[in-house]
Amino acid sequence: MPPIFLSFFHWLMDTPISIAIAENEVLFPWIEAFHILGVTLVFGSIAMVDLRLLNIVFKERPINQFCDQFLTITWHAFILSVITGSLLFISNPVNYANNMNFLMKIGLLLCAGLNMVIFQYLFGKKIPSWSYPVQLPKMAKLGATCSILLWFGVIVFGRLIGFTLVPTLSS
Amino acid sequence: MRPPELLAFCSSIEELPLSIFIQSTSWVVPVVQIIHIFAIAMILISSITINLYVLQSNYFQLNSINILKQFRKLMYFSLFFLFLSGLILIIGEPARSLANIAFQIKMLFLLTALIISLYMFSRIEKSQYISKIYCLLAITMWLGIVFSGRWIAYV
Repeated sequence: MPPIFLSFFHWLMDTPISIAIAENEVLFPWIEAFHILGVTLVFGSIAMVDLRLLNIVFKERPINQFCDQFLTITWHAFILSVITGSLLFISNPVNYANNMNFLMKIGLLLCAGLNMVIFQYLFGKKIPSWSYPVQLPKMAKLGATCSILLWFGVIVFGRLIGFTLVPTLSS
Repeated sequence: MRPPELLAFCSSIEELPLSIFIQSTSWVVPVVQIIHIFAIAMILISSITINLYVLQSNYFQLNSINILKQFRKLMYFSLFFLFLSGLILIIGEPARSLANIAFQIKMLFLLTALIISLYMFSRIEKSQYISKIYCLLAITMWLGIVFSGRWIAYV
């Protein structure tokens, strides 16, 4: 890890908020619980959208309407996940930054974001026309497959962090 | 709540060959916990969809009862994996779960959530009318399950 990052993480670890989260008996577990809530809702809502795009479930629902409604949940849950995830990271930045599972999780998260940007670039303008059953382009289906797999990975590596890092009070 | 009978029961489970296998095989608990999280994710989104349908006067514009039935099917399907993975985790670490107050509260939430959900599903089929209080209660119970589930590791 570059020394500049390391010194920044050490500085971060000495901030009052980092110390408060790391040392308070209830703060870390509560933040973690909200993080899990956020992440499960992100995965659940994105899985619905992806499975619909892949024509696996809810085939009779218009794609555009169905996706819009679930993506509203996704964005709210994503904001919750980012805020709580950042607070968890702040509590022990050096250890998290050196944890391979954490780095994998963040890497997959970035890939999922990039996948979403590419999807929007290629199909953003066409989505409103995807009302009733249409044969989606293969690239759209590929995007949906990548999305569900990447988010699957985010959850897997996220859970594995708990087995390879003991940040505060976890037994 | 940790009565001696419960602790003795936990000890007897710990001696089962399956429990010994789970304890001695390092990958079982992480893999099963991951399956447990995926099951929770699908149950949460199904439950929230069904409840928002009622609470926000058809938020999802799911004017077809068939769609709600599909969400219910998804919920039952996920519940199967939730129970199966939960059972494996209990067998692997009985004292950490059964004798843990957070786990006991989680089970109370789960039982209440199931009773409310089953009642609501029967109402959806008959008349579509469900009290909003039941919906709020159901969502609260599922959130409680997520929170108490995480607290098992800390109590």
